[in-house]
Amino acid sequence: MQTKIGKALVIGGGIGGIRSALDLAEFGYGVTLIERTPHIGGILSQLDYQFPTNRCGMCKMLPLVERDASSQFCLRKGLFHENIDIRLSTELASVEGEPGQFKVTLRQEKNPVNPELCIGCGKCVEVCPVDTADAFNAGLSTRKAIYLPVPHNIPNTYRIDTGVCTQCGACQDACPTGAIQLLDEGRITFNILVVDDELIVRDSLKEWLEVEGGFQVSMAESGPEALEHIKTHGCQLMLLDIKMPGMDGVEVLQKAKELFPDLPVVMMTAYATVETAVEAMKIGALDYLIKPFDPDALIPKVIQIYQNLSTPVGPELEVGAIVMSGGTSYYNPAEGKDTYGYGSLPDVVTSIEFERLLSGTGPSGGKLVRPSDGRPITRIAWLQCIGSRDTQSDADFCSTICCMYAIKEAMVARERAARDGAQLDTSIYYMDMRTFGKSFQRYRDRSEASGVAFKRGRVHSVVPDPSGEDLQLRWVATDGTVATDHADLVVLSVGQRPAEGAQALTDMLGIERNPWGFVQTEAFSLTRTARTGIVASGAFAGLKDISESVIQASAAALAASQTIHGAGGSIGLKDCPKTIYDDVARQLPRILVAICTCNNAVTKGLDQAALVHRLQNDPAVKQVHFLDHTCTAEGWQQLEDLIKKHRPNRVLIGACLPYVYTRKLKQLGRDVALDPRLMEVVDIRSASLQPEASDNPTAAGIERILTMGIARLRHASPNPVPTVPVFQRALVVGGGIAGMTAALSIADHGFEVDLIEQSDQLGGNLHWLHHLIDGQEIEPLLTETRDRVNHHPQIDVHLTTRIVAAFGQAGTFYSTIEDGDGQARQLTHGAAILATGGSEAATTAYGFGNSDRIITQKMLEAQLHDGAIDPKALKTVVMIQCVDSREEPRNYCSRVCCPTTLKHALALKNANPDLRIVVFYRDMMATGFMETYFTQARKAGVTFIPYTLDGKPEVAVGATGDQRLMVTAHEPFLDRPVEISADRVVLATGIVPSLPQDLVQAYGVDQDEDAFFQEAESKWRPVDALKEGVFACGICHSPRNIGESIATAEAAAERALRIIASERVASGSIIAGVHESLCALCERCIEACPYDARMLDPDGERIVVNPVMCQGCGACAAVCPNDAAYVEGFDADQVMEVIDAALN
Amino acid sequence: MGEAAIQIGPERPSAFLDRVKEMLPEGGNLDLCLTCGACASGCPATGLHGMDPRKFLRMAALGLDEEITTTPWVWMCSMCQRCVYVCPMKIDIPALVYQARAAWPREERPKGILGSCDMALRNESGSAMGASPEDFTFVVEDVAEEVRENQPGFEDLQAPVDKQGAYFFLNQNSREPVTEPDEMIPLWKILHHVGADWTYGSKGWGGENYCMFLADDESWKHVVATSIGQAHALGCKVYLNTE
Repeated sequence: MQTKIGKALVIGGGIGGIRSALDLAEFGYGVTLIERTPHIGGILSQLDYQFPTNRCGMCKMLPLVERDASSQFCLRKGLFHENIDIRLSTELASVEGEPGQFKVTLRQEKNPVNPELCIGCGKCVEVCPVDTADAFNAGLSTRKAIYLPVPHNIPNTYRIDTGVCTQCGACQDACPTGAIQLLDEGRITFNILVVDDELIVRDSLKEWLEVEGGFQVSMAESGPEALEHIKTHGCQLMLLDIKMPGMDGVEVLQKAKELFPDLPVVMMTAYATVETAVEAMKIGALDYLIKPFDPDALIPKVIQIYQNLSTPVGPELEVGAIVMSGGTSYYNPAEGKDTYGYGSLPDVVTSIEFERLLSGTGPSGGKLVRPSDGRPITRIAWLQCIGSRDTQSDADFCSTICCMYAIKEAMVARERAARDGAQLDTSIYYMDMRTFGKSFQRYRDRSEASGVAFKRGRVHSVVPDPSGEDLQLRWVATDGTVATDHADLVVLSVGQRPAEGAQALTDMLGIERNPWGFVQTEAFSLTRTARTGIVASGAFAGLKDISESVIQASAAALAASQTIHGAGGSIGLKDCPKTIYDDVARQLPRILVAICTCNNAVTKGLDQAALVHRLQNDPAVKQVHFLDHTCTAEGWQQLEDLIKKHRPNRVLIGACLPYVYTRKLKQLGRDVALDPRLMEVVDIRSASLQPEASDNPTAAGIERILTMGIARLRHASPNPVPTVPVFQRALVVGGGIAGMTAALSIADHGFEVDLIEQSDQLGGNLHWLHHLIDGQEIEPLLTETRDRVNHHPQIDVHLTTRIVAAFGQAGTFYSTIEDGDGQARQLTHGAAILATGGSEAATTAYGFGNSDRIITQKMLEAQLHDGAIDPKALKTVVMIQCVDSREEPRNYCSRVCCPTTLKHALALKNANPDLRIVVFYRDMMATGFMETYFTQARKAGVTFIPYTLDGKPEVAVGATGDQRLMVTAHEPFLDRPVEISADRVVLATGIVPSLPQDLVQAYGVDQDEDAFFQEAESKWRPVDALKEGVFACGICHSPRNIGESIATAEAAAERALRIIASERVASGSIIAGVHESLCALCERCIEACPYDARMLDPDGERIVVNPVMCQGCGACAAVCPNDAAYVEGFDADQVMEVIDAALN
Repeated sequence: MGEAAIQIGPERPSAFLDRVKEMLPEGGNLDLCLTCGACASGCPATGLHGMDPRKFLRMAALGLDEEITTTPWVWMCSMCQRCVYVCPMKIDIPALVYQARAAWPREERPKGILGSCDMALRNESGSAMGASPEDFTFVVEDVAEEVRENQPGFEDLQAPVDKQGAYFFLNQNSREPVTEPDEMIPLWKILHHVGADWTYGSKGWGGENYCMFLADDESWKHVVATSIGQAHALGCKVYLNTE
């Protein structure tokens, strides 16, 4: 369905990359999605459970309109989309060119297993003699050298880990389809020169590399000898020692590079000279190896280098934009001081390892048992901030997601234990529980109520209990009480590190990194880099939870799309196929059955004539043919010829791996003018491999599969997929930074936008905000954005205007607006974005209103700006966090208050270093790289005192008449009262949304219990309303800062663009309908529909289904008492007949 | 509770913490405490006198100078640095403890430590047990001779004192030569086995330095200077601190 000439490259196939790719593909661009591992899904392929549902839900990211362009099954298993070319085990090899027209080349890792021949039978695994750590289970189990990268891929092709494979050939002999070609001829002629002054090093390297690696090895004992060797004999890879007498390695490297600039050189170094090796990489060394060598690590590394060097890069692709979505990597606790015994105590695991322990596909099959001895786990301790908020591991940052995943893991573990009737203690040891998302605090409260213990404190060390039975943790409670806790599993909540390969990728793309090695984005943007057209998606610029990664991914897609569009990428594809299928609606089914014999492997011993005879007993089956290989071009051509000759109106193909055929069937449909929905591929290959109890097992199995397919096809609807017209125009409600950004994002793609603002000016909260914490000025952002909006030819700004009514559905909405003069008019649009913003919450707490010295953070911002406060005239300032927040009824974190407090504390301290500032807080929410400002604030001498809900500080207006404020509180670490005489008390009251209920109802969307916008699904559809076509962004969606608000706006715009991109938008082929003659208008189906796709048409007195909004879930059909509601492709006759065939 | 309220503002609070910060590289990171308690949970002195490293630092940060410069807890710290080792902010709590000790009048400091420091100042041994250079030399030579005579395979064992030009200069905790002379032998054997060229010094041989624990900077310096001076005088290349 690619409809536009524009193309994009997405690097990384985790959920961020998938979201970006899908957004761009749904808009009509062609996307190449590359992933360095052999599977998509990233880290999520290892994680089974997500909060707050404690389930998965990734499939909710799949397209909701034009559904047939994409696979519609579990997204963890795989993805097929007409506009997305997914290339696994592939990396970027080079990039050149300018935004809008980058030229890229890719390198795809060779693998000895041919995916087109591998049928996933697993016979190879049974014979493989090699055992190695299974990365999928985070090393908690072993696997063979030939393995499935993940257990759930579709298609699931075995791969060989060439680094550990001994090339023994057993798998090759065992493979029934000849899919494995082990012998790598290239290695025998690949000459490696080992340069080292020590004979023993040279000899052992030669032996390892020749015997175990299969390479050809030459040796040189000095620099001059090495240079002579490469001059006379050449070599393809040089392993070069750094410390040699006479000419040292760095000098040899320089000279060798002068002679042969492209010669790959890997330095060999002792630990003490690692820095020299790093320097050597700057002058052209490829990598370095650290002595003493471990052959188990060295040989795979050399093989990897060989493969990179010997794998040819693919043809050059031209893409308009590049989306970097390389994810993150995680801290390895064994690298640090490791007082928790990770690596030496088997029952100390990382959070990722624990996710695998929870998983049904994990090392224990999801049973909660100890890795050390398999005994049931009864007490689990989570230790937070491992490799985060720790300057000793160079981590002056928070990793943002660990608090929530620890709570989730505790909850899931408890549910698991409860299910098994087991007792489980769960404790989380933390510094601040960063429950900063809008639903997080309640999730934490729920977990606490269910028995998860939260212990504020960092454990010094984990040691085995003297009895040897379990592990012992000594910690100190806030009041100084020392406790020794026991646990039989300790989970280390490991923090973020830059993704593997992030440095090389950003270097290649010329992208700056922040001090910790993550992508540096532009001011106010989470996605844009200093290079236009190269954007960061997902967690590549810093770890994010699923929701934020998905938002970021859609925002990145938008930014990429703007570049592609700007370079002309939205021009329609000239040869865009306008498919006209033959109208077969009024014909009886005529089915052609094609059976792939797989070179007689499937049909061996099968009585073909008898099978044909039995199938043709069905009058709908007109022809049955056997083909040798439908997967080959010749086989496919034979099939096409057969169809053209016999003109069937249904085609059933018995072959293997049905998912592989999705794209091919669509092309075939165009070629033979038959709707691909009337063609089906069924898997007879698996049936042929499964032993059965009957006399002729294979035949029975194959026949059953075929008759089931025939039954399905006979009833397949011949009617064309419905489409609905689209008004290619958008409406944005709210003219703050989010609304303006959303409007511009859409208008920049050439579509008209109505921007509705109830006040008399654009800008919203940006009017009172002046600086970001990093000093960035906000006013230029406001001016620039407002000017662009005001002058944009595609944007109609409606000030002092409000929405009074609206109705409609995706593609067509009618909104009635009323301006300041009371004039009403109707606007028509295909999508709506709500960006109505929010404001600082009002309060009466802490004596607010009794003194003009008790102010809010917003007032402080204003008073600092206009000079009403002179920091030099102040001696003591008290700031109180979480005012009326994170407790019922406003039980959510507003996320911006802690950073705002830090910003103001730093500003005050900067102006007056002698000023005493005391911050009362519950948990400092300085997430991500904001942590470094928390550190700076403490360094500047700001005092932070935690309080609890039952011990809030108290503020009294001075009785002495000098207007000073007296704050009394409890200092919990010393367990003593504290009395503060303060000049100002500043309250952080948080954000409340301004999302009027009538507006929400007009567009048929929901609010959450705190009156924020209710997402369709907080993780997987984070800016969508459940009702397709309506989106939200900015702080009416959730509390967030400017950059984060802009990201939601871009994401919402990108989601809206998918809908308004085309004149008509098609539904999926599986949608619900109504047999009107049976319908009693009871309207139960309307209530049951989760997508608001059904409504009562008052004129016709009938139930109508919006085909685009309907997702074919079948809830309506299930509740309908008369069988009037049905789902195309699943009507009763059809399903019954398929079941009959299956049981036959 | 029950203790007096901590008063903050409006007047500028104490300067004890600030003074210590000025003495330390990066201010000892003394401002950076996250109050996580890792220090306290690993400290062998936690709970003694109701104190722990976090409380101690916290009191300093809140300006409770009077209390932290008078609490006897500072003398229970063994300066082991377990707290610094795990501190996510690498806060130098022992340095703060040390300065709090130094704030005590010398004569009021714990008798044991004080006496041991004074003992070390008595002669040039630097020994907390007051053993003289002559006594030490005699014991070493006597024990070495005994080994040579009675232990087969160690007929050539040397335990030199003041050997000019030896590569390593070793110091020695006084407890062994004074109370358990045989305990010195295993180390000698190791050094003998690897063929190390080493010597004790008759001056400055005492390895323990109670003046450091006493937070008596001048005396600490004197004891160290005596030992280093002897190592220099003997022309040794490497000082092996066995403490």
